[in-house]
Amino acid sequence: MSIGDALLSLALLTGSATAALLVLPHQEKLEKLRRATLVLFASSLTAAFILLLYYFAISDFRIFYVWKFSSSAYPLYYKLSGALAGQEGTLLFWAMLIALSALWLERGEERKLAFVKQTQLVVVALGLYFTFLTFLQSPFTTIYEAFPDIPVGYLPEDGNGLNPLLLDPWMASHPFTTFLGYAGTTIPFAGAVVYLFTTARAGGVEGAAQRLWVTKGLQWLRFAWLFSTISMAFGGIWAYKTLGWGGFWAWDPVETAMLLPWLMLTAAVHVTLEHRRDRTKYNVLAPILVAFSFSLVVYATAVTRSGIFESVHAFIAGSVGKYIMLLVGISFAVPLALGLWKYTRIPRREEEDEIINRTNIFYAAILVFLITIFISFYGITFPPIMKLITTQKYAITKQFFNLWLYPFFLLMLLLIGLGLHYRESRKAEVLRDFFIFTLFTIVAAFIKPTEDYNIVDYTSFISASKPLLYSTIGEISSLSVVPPAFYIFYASIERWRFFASASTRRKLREAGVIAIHIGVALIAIGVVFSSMFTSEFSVTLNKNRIGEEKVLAQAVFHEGFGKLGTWGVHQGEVLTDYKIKLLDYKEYVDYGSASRVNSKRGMSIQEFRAAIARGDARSEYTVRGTVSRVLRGEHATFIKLSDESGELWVAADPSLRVPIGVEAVARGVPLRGVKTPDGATDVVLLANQVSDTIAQAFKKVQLARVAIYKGKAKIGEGDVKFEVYKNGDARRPLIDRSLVRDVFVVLDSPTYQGDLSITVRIKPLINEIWLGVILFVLGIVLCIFYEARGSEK
Amino acid sequence: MLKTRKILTIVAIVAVLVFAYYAANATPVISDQNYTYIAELEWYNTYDAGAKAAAEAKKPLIVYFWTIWCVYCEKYHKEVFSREDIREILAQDFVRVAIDMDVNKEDTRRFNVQAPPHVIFMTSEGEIITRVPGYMPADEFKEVLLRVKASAGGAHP
Repeated sequence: MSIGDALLSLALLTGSATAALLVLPHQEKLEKLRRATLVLFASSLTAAFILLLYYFAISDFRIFYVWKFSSSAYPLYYKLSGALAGQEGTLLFWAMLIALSALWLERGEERKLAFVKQTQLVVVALGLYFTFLTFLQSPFTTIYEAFPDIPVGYLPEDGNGLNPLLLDPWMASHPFTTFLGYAGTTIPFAGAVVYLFTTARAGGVEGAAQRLWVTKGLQWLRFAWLFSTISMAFGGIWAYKTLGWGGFWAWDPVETAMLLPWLMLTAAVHVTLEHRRDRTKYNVLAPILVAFSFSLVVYATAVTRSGIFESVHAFIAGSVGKYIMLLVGISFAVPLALGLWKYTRIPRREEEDEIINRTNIFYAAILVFLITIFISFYGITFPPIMKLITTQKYAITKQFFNLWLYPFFLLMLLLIGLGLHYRESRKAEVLRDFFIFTLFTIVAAFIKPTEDYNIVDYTSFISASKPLLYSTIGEISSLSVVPPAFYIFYASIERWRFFASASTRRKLREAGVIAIHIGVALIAIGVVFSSMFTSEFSVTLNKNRIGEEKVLAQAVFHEGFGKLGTWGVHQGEVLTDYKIKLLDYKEYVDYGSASRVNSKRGMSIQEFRAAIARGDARSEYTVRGTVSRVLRGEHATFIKLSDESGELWVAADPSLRVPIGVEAVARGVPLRGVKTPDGATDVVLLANQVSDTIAQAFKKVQLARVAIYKGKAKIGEGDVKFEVYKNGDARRPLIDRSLVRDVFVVLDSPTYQGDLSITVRIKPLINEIWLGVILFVLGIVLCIFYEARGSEK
Repeated sequence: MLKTRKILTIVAIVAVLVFAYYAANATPVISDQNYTYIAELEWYNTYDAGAKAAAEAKKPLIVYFWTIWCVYCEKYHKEVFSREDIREILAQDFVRVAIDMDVNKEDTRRFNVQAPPHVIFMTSEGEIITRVPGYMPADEFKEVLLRVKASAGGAHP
């Protein structure tokens, strides 16, 4: 058994022992043992993860998982990011974080309380479950186990490598932040479940210990919320930068699945804060929502990994899908059942029967939030279920989400404004403002200078049929987002006044709250305007006509009878005052860091010749050098390797393609006394492999330098690239940023007969989204640091 | 009398149920057992069904690999396949196959397609004429269509 699998076995053993000791009635003499097993549980998983990182760092391709997701040509950062590129590594990382959370619960005197012990038991049980899954699908499996045909002892020259689109710093950080956020929901889940169970059993009566679920859970919730926000932002930035279609969000099932726990966390944080103010409120709803945040996290993993769901991320579908689905079921059913049980056990109390008060407004906002969660959940869950039942595929596209969520999104923004502004003492004034902004919103919903203002684009083929309700919502003007956003700005300023005389600590916390909500308003404006008012132009330039200028024409679509007399969607063009100019064009080959890596491998030509002369008994040699000539024959490709010490001919497979000038590593059997293509008789290396590393990092780049003008003013200039890698293509757009707009230029496809097919997008206000995200993140950080203490009733 | 929050809860539940029912009925079907519907044309779901039809009709085959979430596919549907003249050629002179890469993994593997969109043109005998990986704008796409039509022989020599 390998060290890695041994560590996993140790974790399974010590984790089970910890769980067993937690179940046993408390005995002082077993305490030490329990602590020891817990520490061992967490540290064996941590050691296993560090070991995996180490395998990636040294590119140990005997490990199947490393081979699959890494290449020796990558810089260290991308190598390490490979550890979370697949299911095996993520499960291990997750199990490790959960085990560390269990250890965190050991801190302080509170650990002796039964409540903390029970919470710890749930956490350890979850950690154990994930350890078990990791064990089932171990990241430490060797290639010899994965491919029984490979002879033991064979060492691959290079790994399979990541998809070139994933080679991006934002994407490399994305899974780490995601799983930090995901793991952060474990303690809140465990605390909520134990709280529901113990208070339900006690007939709704809660003791001091039960309050720990709020005090301990809330900071973890915020932590999870923070990292989920960051990870979604990273994913969005990556999509915008690398996918080439100029968007940051496509309602891909995995994106949507990730949004679900984020939305639930947002709701849970709010409800839990409200519960903390008054523990008689939301003592069933708050723990249920908190627990569901974890359930949705597991659901998101199921969507990514189970293979039932269809998405771009599903290429890494794994075999432990069914166990994850089982956990989804359990994690939803248990808190729900406990919640219902508790609900029937607590005595009903008389409510204040005023229609509009703080409690009811807050409750309405939470309901709106839950509706948006349901719609998003439905959007990703309905198509695969229907596909199973009816074999028909339903078109749930981005239009579906935009259409259904938009009205609730507006309502939510208005309620955020109201919530920020609300003071019982100034109710009449607050409500007056709310109605004014609501009225503005309704009016704005009808202001449509052109059809482009419709929130849903009907020219898409999928909306060929237009049910009445769809067209009604779809024709809301996107200007309707402006009044609610301004309401939030206004309410924030008004709210700040209440804290003029508060302590610095209180003020900073309040600044956090306000920053979060202003962030939301900025994101709302940025999202709606950048997606609605993007001007998109397709243009073709020719690589041989440097300096050529073209006026950009906008495609317009209309439905009706076209030139040929047939009914359908027809395309026309409208000239604009935007221009594009081709400044330069070149094609080149980029070898990345391959040569650097190869210089450490194999022997020089002189060393090789010396070894041959010595009569070394080795059957295979690895030789490095620069490719100086390539001759393609019918039965072999001849490559001449050269370095300072000499020259050597290598015979390789006729299908091999190696560009001249590359540093290559050839591995094979020496053949003596062969007539070389030069006419001399010499040793020739009959290669079974010529460096994969080169091919891995190797990319062909087409680069166009362009400038974009609006009227006479230049609004953007830079390089647009189309890169062709061994295992895929990547578009590298030009993004010229400013506060008002981004100029986004992308080469759509490789050059075709000298033609460069280019799409130019002018995206207004998109940077307001990133600005909003920064404020949002800062806000959460402030709230975490200046957490209100002793504010409980 | 019902309390405000109870009323709110009931309203929310009713809203969710109405939504679920309405959305289930109003969501368009893009494909059924035999066909996929793109640009208001019928496309076969599998290569085998398309190849059989192409052999019978003696028309060249366009095999289009796509997914629902692929943005360049949507661009294809909107700006290329739906354009009147191109749609006309596709309808008259080609047997169409649309492979949803999320569903039809078999054909995706068979033709070794890595990413959507991807178009393969074939003769009526199933011989590959050319491949178009990634997006191609309408004018160029039309040119390729016409060349394929000419080289595949067929009804219009």
